Formats: sequence, C-alpha cells, structure tokens
Amino acid sequence: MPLVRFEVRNEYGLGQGELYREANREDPKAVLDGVAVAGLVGILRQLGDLAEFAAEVFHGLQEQVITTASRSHKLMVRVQNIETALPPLEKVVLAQTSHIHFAYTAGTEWHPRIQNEQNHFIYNDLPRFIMESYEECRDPPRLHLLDKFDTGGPGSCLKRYSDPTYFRRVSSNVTEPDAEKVPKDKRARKSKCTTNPSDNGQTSPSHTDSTIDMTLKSDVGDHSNSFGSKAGSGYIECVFHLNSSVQAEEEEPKELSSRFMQHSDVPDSVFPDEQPGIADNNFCRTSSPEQIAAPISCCVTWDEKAEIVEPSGQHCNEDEISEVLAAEPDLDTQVANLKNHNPLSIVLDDANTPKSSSSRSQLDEVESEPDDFMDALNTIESESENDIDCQTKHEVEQFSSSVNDEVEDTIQEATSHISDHHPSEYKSRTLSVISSNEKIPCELPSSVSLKSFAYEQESHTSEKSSELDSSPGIECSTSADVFDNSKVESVSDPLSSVSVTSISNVQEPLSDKTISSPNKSRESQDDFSCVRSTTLWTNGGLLGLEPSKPPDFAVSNATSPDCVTRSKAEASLPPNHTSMSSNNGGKPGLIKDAGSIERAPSSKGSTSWHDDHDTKVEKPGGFHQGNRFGHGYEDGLNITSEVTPRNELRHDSDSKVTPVESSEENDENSSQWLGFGHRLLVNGFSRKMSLVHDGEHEPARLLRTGALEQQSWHNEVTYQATPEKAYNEQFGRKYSIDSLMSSPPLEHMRISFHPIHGFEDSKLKLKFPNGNRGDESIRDMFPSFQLIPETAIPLHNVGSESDDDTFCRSSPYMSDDCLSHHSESDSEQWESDESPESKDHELYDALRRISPVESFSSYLQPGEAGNNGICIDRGLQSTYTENGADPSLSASSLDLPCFDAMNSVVYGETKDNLDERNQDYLRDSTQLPPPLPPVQWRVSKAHSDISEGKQHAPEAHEHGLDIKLLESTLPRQPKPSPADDQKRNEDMIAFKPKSKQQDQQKLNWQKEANQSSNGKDVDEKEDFLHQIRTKSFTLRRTATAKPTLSSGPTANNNVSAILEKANAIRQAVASDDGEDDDTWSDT
Amino acid sequence: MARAGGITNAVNVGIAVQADWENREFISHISLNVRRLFDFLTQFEATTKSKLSSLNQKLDTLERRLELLEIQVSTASANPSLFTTS
Repeated sequence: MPLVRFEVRNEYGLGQGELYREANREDPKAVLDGVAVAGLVGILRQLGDLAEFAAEVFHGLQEQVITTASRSHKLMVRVQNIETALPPLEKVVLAQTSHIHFAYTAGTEWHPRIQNEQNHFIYNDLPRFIMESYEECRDPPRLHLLDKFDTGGPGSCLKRYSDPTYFRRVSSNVTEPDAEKVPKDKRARKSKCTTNPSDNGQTSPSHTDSTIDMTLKSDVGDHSNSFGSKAGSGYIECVFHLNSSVQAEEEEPKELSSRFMQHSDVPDSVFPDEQPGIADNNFCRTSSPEQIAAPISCCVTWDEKAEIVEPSGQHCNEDEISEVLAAEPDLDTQVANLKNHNPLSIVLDDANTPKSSSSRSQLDEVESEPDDFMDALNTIESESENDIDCQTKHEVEQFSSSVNDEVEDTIQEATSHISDHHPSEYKSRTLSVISSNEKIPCELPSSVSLKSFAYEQESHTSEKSSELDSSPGIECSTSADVFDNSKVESVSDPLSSVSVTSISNVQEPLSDKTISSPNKSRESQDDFSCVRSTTLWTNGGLLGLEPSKPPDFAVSNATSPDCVTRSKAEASLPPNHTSMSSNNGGKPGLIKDAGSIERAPSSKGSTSWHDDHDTKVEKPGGFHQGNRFGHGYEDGLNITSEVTPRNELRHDSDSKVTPVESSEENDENSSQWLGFGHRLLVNGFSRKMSLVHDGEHEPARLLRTGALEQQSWHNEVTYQATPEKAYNEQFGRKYSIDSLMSSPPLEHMRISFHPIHGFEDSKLKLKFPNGNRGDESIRDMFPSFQLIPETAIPLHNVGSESDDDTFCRSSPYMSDDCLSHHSESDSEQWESDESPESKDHELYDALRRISPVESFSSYLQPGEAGNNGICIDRGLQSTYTENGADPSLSASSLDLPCFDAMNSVVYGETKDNLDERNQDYLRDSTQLPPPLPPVQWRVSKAHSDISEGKQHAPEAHEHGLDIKLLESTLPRQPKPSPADDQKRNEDMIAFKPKSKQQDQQKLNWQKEANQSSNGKDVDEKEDFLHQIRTKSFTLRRTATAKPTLSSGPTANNNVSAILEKANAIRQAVASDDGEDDDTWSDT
Repeated sequence: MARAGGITNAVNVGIAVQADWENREFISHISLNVRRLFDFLTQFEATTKSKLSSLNQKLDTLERRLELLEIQVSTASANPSLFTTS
C-alpha cells in the first residue's frame, strides 16, 4: 500500500457546481458548457495545487541542496586547510633520513564519537522528524497562572502537571545513601594516604575535585596526544576505584557517591548527555569491556567485546593464582550495591568528559591502595607500551649478533637485584602479565578485575622498587603524566609496596620458582602465557589479521632451541585461530624471558637501562614484554597506554636501537624496515590497513602495529620451523627460516591490499594468497601491477620474477582484464613482452589467454600485422597456431565471413589442445620440414597455384600472412574470380597450418577437414556453374581434361588440377599398358 | 414546425453533447497531464532526496576522514618532535 504523497482532486470537483447548477435547465448547451467550464476551472485549480506542490518540493530540495552545498563547501575549506598545513610536514618528513622512528611514535589519540554517543537526544542535530515533533508539540498549559493559589510557590502547579526534574531528583535520592558511604571511604583513604608520602605535590591525597579538575586540565594541556589514552585510563581507574574503594571498606561507596555527586554538580548540560542505563551497567561491571573501551575508542569496543568472552573462561584458570583475593563475593555484592544505588552518580561520572576522569585518575592514584591498583592499570598499560617499544628495541638488538657485555652485566645485576629484593614482586609481575591480559577483556565481576589490577599494582610497585634500587637517577616526579605520576607515587609509596607484598606473599611459591632459576620463571611465564592463550586474542580475527603481534623473536627462536620447542608446544595447541593468536601472544613472553633472563643478552636492557623510563619497563624484561603482547595488543584497541612519555621513550629507544642496527645484521633490519616502509605505503593507500588493529587511526599507530605484525610474522616463522604447520589460516607461513628477514607475511599484505585497491585488486588478491613465497619486492609489485594493468611491463616483471603459481593465477585475470586494453595496445609492446614469456612455458600458458588478444590487436591493426609477423619469433607464431588467427586474419581481411565462422568453430574445437601444441612448437621452434600435406590436399590441391602457395606459405606465415603478399602470389591466375579468391584464401589457410609444425597436424586436419569439405563443395558447385556458363559440357571421357583446360581461362584451378592429375595418371597408365585411352575412358 | 423545431432542438442537443464530450475529453487530457506532473514531481523529489541522502552520507564519511586528517595534521604539526630523530 503506497503512501499517499499528494492527492489530486477531481477537476470537476474542484470547479464549483454553481457554474452549471445555475444554468438554465432548458438549455442543455448551457448546462454542458457550465460543466465544461467547471472542469476547466478544476484544472486550473489542479494546476494551482501542482504549483504549490512543486513549490513545496523544490523548497525542500533547495534546503537540502543548500545544506549539502554548505557542507561540501566546508569540506573544501577544511581540505584546503589541510593542504596548506601539509607542505611543511612533507618537507619535514622528506627531510628525514630514516623513518624508522615513526614506528615508535605514539600517534594520535583521537576519539571522535565520544560525545555523540552520550548526546543522542539533546543535540540540536536530531533527526528532523524528531525535531519537528518537538517543535510542533504544544507547550504545557499555563498552569503557572495558578501558582498564586498553590502553596508550593511559583512553578509548583506546573510541576504537578509535568516535572522534568523528577528523574533527576529521584536518581539523586537513590545515590544519597551511597553518597553517605563515600565520605567515610574517603576518610579512610585519606588516613591511608597520610601514611603514604606523596612525592608529587600534584597528587596529594588532599586534592579536592576542583584540584582534580585543575590537574586534569593541566594534564590535558600537557599531553594533548595522550588525551584519549589518559581518558581511557582515567575511566578505568574510576571504575576500579569504585571497586577498590569497595574492597577497602564498605563505607567507601558513600565517599564514592559523594564524589559522583560532586560531579553531578556539573552543569545540567552534562547530565542529559549521559546514558544512565548503559553507563550504570558499565560502571557497575567494572570488568565490562565497554567500560574500558568506550572512552578509549568507540570503534574498538566491539572487538574487545568479542575478546572478552574468552577471558571469562580465563579467569577460572587464574583463580588459582587469584586465590589471594578471597573477598571476591563481597566485592561483587558491594559492586552490585553500588550498581543499584549509584546509577546516577556513576552516570555522572561517566558523563564527565575523559578529562575529568583522567584527572580523577591521577588523584585516585595518589590517594590509596585501590587507587594504586588503578594506577597499576595505567602503569601497566604504559608499561605495555613501553614494552612494545622496548620489545622492538629488543628485536633489533637481537638481530644484532654483538651483545653488549656491559648491558648484560647491568641486566644481570638488575635481575639479580630484583630477584633478591623483590622475588615476590617478580612473581607479581608474572601475574601482572596475566592480569594485564585479563584486565581489559574481563567481563567477570569486578573482583577478578580487582585481582588483575592488584597484580598489576604489585608488579608496578615491584618494578618501581626495582627501579629505585637499580636506577637511582629516575626523575619521574617531574613529569605530569598520569603514567609518570603513578609510577612515582608507587615508587615513593612504601605502603603500596607493602600492600603488594601482602598480595604477593600469597604467591611466593611461584615467585620462589622464579627466583630459583630464570628458566623456571620463564617456564612459569610460559604457563601463564598458555593460560593467556585463551585470553590474549585481541582482534577477534575480525579483519582476518592476527591481532596478537608477538615480537619478532624469530631470531631468538632460531638461536634458542628452547624457544623453538616452546613454539612447538604452542603449536601443538589446537589450531584454533584464537589459540593461534594466543599462542603468538604467549610466545613472545616466553621468548622474551629466554632472551632477558636466560641469556641476559638483551642489549635492550642496556640501552634502556640508562634511560629512566625505559628501565622501568625493561627490567621486568620478559615479563612485561609478555604482558605487552597480550595486553598491548588488546590495548592496541584501547590506545590508553599511548601516552606522551611513550613518545619520549620511543625517541630514546630509537636512538638506542639505531646503533644496534648498525651492527652486523643490517640486512635483516633493512628487510624489516622494508616491511615498515611497505606498511607505510599500504597505509598511504588506505587507512583500512589500520582497521586491523586500531580500527583506523593514526599512521604512527599503524606503523607500530606494522612493526608488531612483523613481529608476529617472525613468530609465524617460528611456527613453521616447528613441524606443526597446520594453520590453515595463515597462508604466508610458508616462509623458510632463511627468508625470515626478507619481508612481512604476505597475508598481511594481502589483506592490506584488499581494501586499498578496490575491486580490481581484489581479484588479484584473492589469487595471491598462495603466492606468498615470492619476495617482498615482488609482492610489492603486485599493487602496481594491478593498478596499471595496461602496461605490460609489470606483467613482464612478474612473469620473469615471480613464482609460476602466482603468475599463473594472476595471469588469467590479467588476460581477462586486459582484453579490452590490449586490443588497443601496440603490438610491439606485446612483442617485447612475449620474448620472456616464451621462455617460460607456464608463463606462456598465462599469456596464452592473452595471445588471442594480441591476434585481435593485430587484427584491428592490419598495418601492424605485418610487423608482428615479421618480428615475432615464436610468440605470435604460437598465437597463430593457437588461435588459428592466420585464417581469421586473412579471411577477415578478405571479407570472408563464412570462413571466419568456420575458423571460430575450428578454434573452439582445437582450443583445448593449443597449449600442448604451442609448447611443443616452442620447443621445436627451429623450423621443421613442412609436414606432408594431408590427403585431402594432395588430392584437391595439386594445382600449380597451390604449389606456389606452398612456396609462399611459409613466407606468408612468417610475415604475418600479409594479405597483399598473398595476393601477389596469386595474380598468376589469369582471371581470378571472387570465387577463386575465396578458394585461394582457403588454400592459404590450409597451407599455413601445413607450414607449421607437425604437432599441429591435428589442428590442420580438423581445419582441413572442414575447409576441404567446404572447398570441395564450393569447387563442385563452381565447376558446374562454370561449365554451365561456358556451356562446355565435358561429358566425354578423356577429352574432358583438355577441353576444360582449353576452355578455361576461367576454369577453376582445382578442377584443372584434378584434370591434370587425371591426365598424368592416364598417361602413366597408357605408357605402362600401351593401350588406348578409350578403354580407360570408356569405362 | 414543432416537429422541425423538435428536430432542430434535438440536433442542437446532439451538437451540444458532442461538444461536451470533446470538452470533457480535453479536460480529461489536461487533468491527466496534470496528474502526470504531480507524479513526476513526487518521483523527482524522491529520487533527488535519495541522491542527496547518499551524497550526504558520502559527505559524512568525508567529514570523518577529514576530521581524522585534521587531527593527524594538527598532531604532527603541533609535535615537531615526532620528526626529530634522536
């Protein structure tokens, strides 16, 4: 049932009835005229309605067009601004000698849709149909007039009718009891904080909310880049702060609520922005991924959700470790209480922009242990990022064969020192690895998350303590970053360390293991990694890429059998994709442990060791690296860890890395850099590449991810080293260990290409995956190859260099795609291309399909056909043989469509066998003696012209069967009739295959069979016609020969040939027998 | 005479009816075309709005991308340290 857009009334209905009612009834003409006039009036009114409707329509369209035009204009302005801003950046970038450091830059934290999600129903940009409903609705009745009669004062009557503040008040009332609890908690917290000496004056526990906001602003201003990450961290912190507060004391919720209430004091505009229900749920479930991911990046949240499902099961595994936290149920209940009682407050908190949250996060960090837990989250995230950097460093360094002894010494010292002073911390770190992994994805009740955070906190404190011990020169206090603050605080806080110990003591048996032998610790982490294997899966395989980007410890794996065995063991895990990723994630941790603890060769430690920031991360070494892989990739979505300090760290790492790179294995590094560069290119083509991990965003992030992907690739290689390669998902795993450094895995590239180049490329992409074996350069060729299919050069390159498989697969598409293009292209270009192709048979097969195109091009360009025929060695010959292109060419040029059809049939029949013949032909490219003509030819083409044709046939064939040349051979015929021409052409067509190799005899036979049959029929018909015309009925026996010859200046050649042969036979018989011709002829 | 007058009257009526038919046909034609104009307008509006909506969607995507680019450019320009290789 269609909707009625506009109803056109009847024209007679529009006209008033008075026009004909008032007419004289006696005069029918008047009545009828009146009716007609009424109809005309109705039409006029219809036209009027039409005008109105058109005006309405066009008015609406005009508005939309204007808005669209204004938007486009704005876009243009923005684009111009970007264009103006780009040149200096380009200069700067181009001035860079090495772009490696871009891989270590934090990139941009950008969360465009945060506000939009919170303000669906208050923004002015609501959909029009909603705005119209708002605009059209009537105001409430003027009940304010009755206020004077109401004791409630002004507005009370209206409130009785409709009170928009009702829900706000109710929600605030609900939060009041919690608000009462929160202050208590805050007091307790303060009491704790008093014990904790706060190094940072900034983060003193006495911060009020205003101060928090101030710190927030300052932080934001200082670290515009890390805004999103901070926001995310702060957000998380708030969440966990809630839990932690609950954990600390039951009274805490009051304080918490009070805090929230303070936030609720924020102008009303903030309030409606919030989504109470969702935010409430998020907050109450501290472990919910949305909660964490929402502030961080909206795009990523989905992935994280997908990931979260696994970790839930993970927690069960880790419950053993997390037994320490026996207060889980209590926490859960408390959390539930908070959920019930503080929805609005939480919402308000959520409503706060990430700035506020981050600011509070800083404050919280300082305030108490649970805050420290939250700090641990930040620190761990930042650590994970640092680990990423360090790990990249570590990779590079591992590539370098030369290990710095000093560095080793320092590392060993550090490790020993840590083990001596902080064994439990060690363990806590290992736990923190797991916990960090769990942290983000965990949907479980907050207790688990608290565990994880507690572990993280422990690890963090331990790290800090270790840092304090090992590196006295740390100056973290100066930095205003949340990251730094948290660290400093934790470092400075003895309480935090104490609390950590309290938790870690429970776990000391494990820590003892770690202390006892680094190998054991490594194994323990391996175990953890195995546990993590389920949790670590980050991207959920959405984009087909492996989210987990374990570091490229391929080298270390290759060198260390343990790592290989480890990889094997991991490989032995179910080939499930998630398990794969998890394995990958787990591996790095193992490998890192091996590198850092066992070998203690990690030059990274040395370089970073001097750096204050790096030391923090690097000391934990393998542990945190392991964290990084699991956590960092999961956080790759979260982005929280990418804080400005990280940039600094990266710069440091770059500086540190470069000398290491300069060491022996520059080749490998260069290959990696090529990988980076390639990824940069890919990113340049399209951002979709970034979707793999981050969902889209900064190129710097992409670079980092690319580096991580390389790492994962190396891990993949290690998997290959293991006998169990049954990972069907990963096509490009077939790289040999030798080619480890050559290039990143192809599947990544393939995936990256896919969005980039669009539809045309997608074809090739689909074909590539098995062609992973090719070199990186070749793979890089493909995009260009795809982008410029017309130019045969990439084809040539690919054909000469790439694997046969890839080329063969790609080639058919090429041929298909290029048909139109090549038909117009120069034949010379194809000639140049063909020479290498003919060398390789498979390539030739690939070109086989292109060859018809060539023939077709020559067909379109008859002037060049001769050139083609002359210049082409084997390619065009083969094409001729393949296509039967010669006959088609000649026939088409001679306008013999009937023969074309025949050729097409022949071609269709023999098309399948062309390959073999062509190959054989190529092998036998040396001119073989022309094959004996088939029987039909012997019989039917014994004419002298045919012999001439034979003589010229090879030439014609070699010269591309130039038609004129053929005609020049033919003019000997006294009176060529059109029928004769046709015949000659057919003869030539028949000759051409003859002059070709014996291999093609089948084809020739087929053609000849068709042709000969055709020719015979034609000959007979023509013969009879000719005889009828000439009226020379040769009913007599032997005399038939001569009369036909004599009569036949117009005689048919074939007929004459037959007659000549008959004469020859007759003469021979006569010479033998000596008998009269009569006897023979009469019979 | 009366008969003749009746005949002439009938003839006149017939002529009038014929003329009326012609008028009605004419009016119906015009009305039909007017309706066609309405139909055209509705279709035009629908197609135009659909195209505009698609265009707006594209503009949305472009705006998002531009926003991202602006952020990137601003970040890069605001942080020259990114380009300084230490």
